[in-house]
Amino acid sequence: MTEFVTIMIVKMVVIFAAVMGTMTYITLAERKILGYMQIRPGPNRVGPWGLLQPIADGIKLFLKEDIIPDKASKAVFVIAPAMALIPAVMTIAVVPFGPTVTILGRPVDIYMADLNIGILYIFAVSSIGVYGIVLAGWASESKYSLLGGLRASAQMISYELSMGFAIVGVIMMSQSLSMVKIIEAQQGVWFIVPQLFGFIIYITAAMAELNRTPFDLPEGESELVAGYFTEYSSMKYAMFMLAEYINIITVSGIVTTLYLGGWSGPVLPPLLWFVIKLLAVVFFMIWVRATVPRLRYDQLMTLGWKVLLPASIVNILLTPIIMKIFGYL
Amino acid sequence: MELILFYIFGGIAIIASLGLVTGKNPVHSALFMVVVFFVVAALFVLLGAEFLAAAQILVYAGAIMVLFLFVIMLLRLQKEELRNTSRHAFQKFFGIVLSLVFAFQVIMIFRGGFFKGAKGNFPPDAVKGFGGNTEAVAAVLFTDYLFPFELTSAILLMAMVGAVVLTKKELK
Amino acid sequence: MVPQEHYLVLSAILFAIGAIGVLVRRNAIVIFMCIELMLNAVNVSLVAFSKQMNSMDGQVFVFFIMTVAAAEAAIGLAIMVSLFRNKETLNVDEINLMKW
Repeated sequence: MTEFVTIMIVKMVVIFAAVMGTMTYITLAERKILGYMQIRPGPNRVGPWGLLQPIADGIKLFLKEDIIPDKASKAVFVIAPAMALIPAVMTIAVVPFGPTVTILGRPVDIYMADLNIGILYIFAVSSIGVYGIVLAGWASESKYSLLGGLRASAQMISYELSMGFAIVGVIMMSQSLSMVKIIEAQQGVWFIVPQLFGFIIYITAAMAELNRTPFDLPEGESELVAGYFTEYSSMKYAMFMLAEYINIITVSGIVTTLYLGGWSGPVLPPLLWFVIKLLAVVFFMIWVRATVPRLRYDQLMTLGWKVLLPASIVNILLTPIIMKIFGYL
Repeated sequence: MELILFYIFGGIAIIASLGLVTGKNPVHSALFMVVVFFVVAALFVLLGAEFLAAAQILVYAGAIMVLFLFVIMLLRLQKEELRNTSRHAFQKFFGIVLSLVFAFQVIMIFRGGFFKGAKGNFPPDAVKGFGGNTEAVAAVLFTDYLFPFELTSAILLMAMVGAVVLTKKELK
Repeated sequence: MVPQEHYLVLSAILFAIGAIGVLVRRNAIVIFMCIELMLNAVNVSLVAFSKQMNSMDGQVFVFFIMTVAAAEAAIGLAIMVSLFRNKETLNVDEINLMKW
């Protein structure tokens, strides 16, 4: 019992630290990659190649004055950033970073838990993330925030459906909701091959869920200043940023698990494979941000309800045929 | 351990639902409602119904309450409650008394020796044999309850059509 | 091990609180939330029954209640939105056109 608890605590600390570290450097990577794609060097003043930039940003955010607007609904205003951050951190618990390995003679799984409702858990928890955004928009008592919050809730509800339907294909093929079993089912062929259609739907919907460009209408700076976090400053603002980037990591981890075969791969150790694939997905998202312009609001809703949702249902209908062709049935 | 958890969750549930009923601001009420949904999901986990716990958070907290909040924000309902509330002291009194009497009666019925009759086919070992709670629920849902299950899809479709028709600006 | 009756008592208390809310509150949306609370209270007792009687039927019922609640929320909120468009209020005392 005590050994179990110790292992869990150590894992918790290590995974949390690793994710936070990756997260801070993804912010830098995003700015650097966007810079190079736009033929400019990106941040390069703090440390060699700007490597200390995230730390400088963190210190700056810590030291800024924390402003609570006079008219804001105080309690909700303070709770909202936490409600955005907590679900983001909670989803990491079921992302399987690597298989069971032996450390100091004990078998240790490189993930917090393998729930038999793994995917449902991820869905349930990530659907809570919208509260932080909606409440931030409501509590700020500012029209930009409110519009951002309304847009975010409409957008996230719309795209969650297609996301859920896209995953049904994977569940049908792996016949399990457990993340580890899904990876084990991909030892032969990664699901991106038979589920290419589902993969495209999922990653589009996931980017909409994350409010990433081209779906960043809730925070579209040219029309809404900064959307739902217009009124936030200092650490509360930083918490929204943390939540956004941790969500990027978890979504990439989920995409890796569901469609890219998770930790499986030749030669290199499994954990490294997982990290490589995860970073590849993150790079893809940054690439999309640099390439695609923002959608208009009606285009966003049309894409969600009239394109992605029917397409995901068609994907479910196609999946049995694909399974027959690939010999799963 | 389980007992302590039950009392913690039960206590939170009761406090949050009281907050829901007494809250003056609809948004605060909605937040308390979310807390209640979470606690009920936790109780489901304690009762070994993991699938329902996930579905509870997914459906209630993730979808229904977001819709509620969306509508509350859309309609800017903030000072609604302050208008003519005093007119109904009589109804309030009776409502509270009747509800308390009801709760008291139900609790009296529930006290002790309530679970009788034949046990079902799903003792904890059998559930494990199925591969977990999700599989056991599915085994019942897609055999004995297949027809009601199909009916729910009709209900959802009707709700969808109804919602679209009701909110359409003008009917032609 | 929790005595199963405790779940039922908790469920009864939650149901009564929900009922009080329905009878006392005047805001249609809050009344609606209280109805959801009552449904949840019933769900707790159904799952408790299911556990105690070693049967999955209770959990399947809860599943159905959830789908019906989702449908109900969609319709109910649609009604409220169109009500608010026409009457500018959600106070149930002022929505009295059908009373006479």
